[in-house]
Amino acid sequence: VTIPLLNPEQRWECPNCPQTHVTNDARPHTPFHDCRGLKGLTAPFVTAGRKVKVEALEREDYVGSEMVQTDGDGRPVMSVQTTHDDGTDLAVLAPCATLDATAHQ
Amino acid sequence: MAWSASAIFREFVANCMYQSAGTSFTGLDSDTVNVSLHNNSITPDKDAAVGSTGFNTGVWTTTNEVTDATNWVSGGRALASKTFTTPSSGVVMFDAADLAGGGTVTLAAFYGCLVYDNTISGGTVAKQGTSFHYFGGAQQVTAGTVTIVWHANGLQRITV
Repeated sequence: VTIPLLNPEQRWECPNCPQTHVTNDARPHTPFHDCRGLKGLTAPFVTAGRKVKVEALEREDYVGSEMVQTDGDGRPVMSVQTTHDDGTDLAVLAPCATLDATAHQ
Repeated sequence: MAWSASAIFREFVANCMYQSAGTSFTGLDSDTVNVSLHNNSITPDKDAAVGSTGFNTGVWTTTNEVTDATNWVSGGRALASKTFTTPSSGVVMFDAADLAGGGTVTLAAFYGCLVYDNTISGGTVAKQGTSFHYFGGAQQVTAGTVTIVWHANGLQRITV
């Protein structure tokens, strides 16, 4: 018996901007996009038709010399949180670890 | 004390970058590089002795690790699509694909991550740390997905 492997179509949307997306992957996944509604931040799409809130969470500590991720206004953002009926998703916007070997001491 | 910054370990440069004898280090490109999540009970130190920079050593013990029982287990998850580039004059960059959990997770508050070489088994310390990244506050997930989105300038950036 031949059993076809189905890749169901999954439609995605963003509650903060007009962008939409379609994927055909049976594995758990979350596509991302550069969201105009969140001032250019990398933000997750959400399943089309699902009522959720997607918001940027501002960094809670000093930036100092950290190479952090910022939105279009230069505001340091530590994560993008998606709140849905039964929990939360999180996209952590990690800083870059740097090493400057040019500084003279 | 607690988390305050992100950094590349001094001992990673002193050891793996310059010498690898007896460590089984073959390069971050060919080794397995893992990312583990940690709570705010630790004070990461870029100048820590090499013996305290490995996963489950120094401050990076599993006592202070944050895990999910199924989809982000102890030891963390492996990076994929690692790249090593020289994007501009004097700059070396280590990047990888954004790192997602294996499915739905519930994670207590985590504040940062350890990036370590999971292939290193010899020398002074196994699973030697390469860098740590401070997320800037408490991150928490409840019955949802988690993804670490790396900076456009990569995980690690060295200016020479």
